[in-house]
Amino acid sequence: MTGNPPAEANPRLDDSRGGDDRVSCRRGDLAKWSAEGGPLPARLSRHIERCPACRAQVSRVNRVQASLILLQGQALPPNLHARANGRALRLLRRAERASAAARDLLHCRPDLPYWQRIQFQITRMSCGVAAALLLLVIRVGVVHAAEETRDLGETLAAMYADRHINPDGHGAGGDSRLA
Amino acid sequence: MARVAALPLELRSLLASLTSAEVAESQQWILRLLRGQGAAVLTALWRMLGSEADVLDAYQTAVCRLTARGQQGVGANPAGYFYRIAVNAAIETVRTRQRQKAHWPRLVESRASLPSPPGVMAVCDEREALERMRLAISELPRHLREVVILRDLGQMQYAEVARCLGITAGTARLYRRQAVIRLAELIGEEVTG
Repeated sequence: MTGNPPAEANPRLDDSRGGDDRVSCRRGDLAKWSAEGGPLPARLSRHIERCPACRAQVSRVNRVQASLILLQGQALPPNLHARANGRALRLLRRAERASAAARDLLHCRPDLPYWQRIQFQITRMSCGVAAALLLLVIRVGVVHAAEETRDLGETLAAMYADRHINPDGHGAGGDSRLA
Repeated sequence: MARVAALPLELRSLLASLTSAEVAESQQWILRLLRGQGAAVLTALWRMLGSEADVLDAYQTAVCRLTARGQQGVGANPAGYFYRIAVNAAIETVRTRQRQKAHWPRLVESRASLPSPPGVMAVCDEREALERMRLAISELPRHLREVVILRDLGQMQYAEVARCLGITAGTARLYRRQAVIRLAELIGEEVTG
């Protein structure tokens, strides 16, 4: 039993079959027309008059072809291309900037030797140390200047007291610094 | 290239300006892709999505993935890769839309119950037919879907489709024939179901 089954045994090959319209005949012209579209071939046209399954299939394929043609008729908005390319270019530039930053990050190797880590720590701390030294110098300078100012004020006060308030050098609390 | 020649003059000049754009040397291959395939990809995306915002998002997603992959990562067929990722982004958007639509059935029902003038109904029918077809395309198996999108929406020749997908032109024809039959089944199911 290697030959093709008779048409009666396989309802899909029966040209004039009615009944279930979900299973169409295996017709070459129907398959070809389904793929290529265009006007219905005359033989197929005659066939679908008496085959509801193929008629339904032709109707469905027709709907698909019509919808595809409708989709193909959707014209591109005039400035869509410009906007899409503009966004793409901005994205590329941003990606380039981001990848440069990523390259920098990759240069920071985690498996440095001990002496290099110390060197790295020293380099990192040197700014802080310099800033602290600077602050210390400023503070010492300010304190020293304040103390000098205070001493000078005291000296001037004592001179004033010696010359104008207690020129003889007598009396309580008299301070004779100039002497 | 015939599609590029069919574009208006200002778009062609803009397309040409992509070559001289200031981007890094390592990204020049992406510019070449955008210049060569950008118009066709955008056309296919527009027909698949029908919304400017969605098209821009899908296009940018595709460019983003190209950038992330790099020239070595996309393989020997960068144009095919570009088409595929753009189409995948579009399919994802169509499916997301469908999922969102499932959450507002009541709104659709109330709109359907309202009386509309005949002109408005025709526009709605056309829009619904387009949406139905887009959804049906997104439900196709991947190999059939790619052929339909490139051939019918991107309006490429079978040879170009075959080159993009890495198959023969005969296989592309066969896939397209199977796709139409499957689409007919899907559309038929939706109409009767």
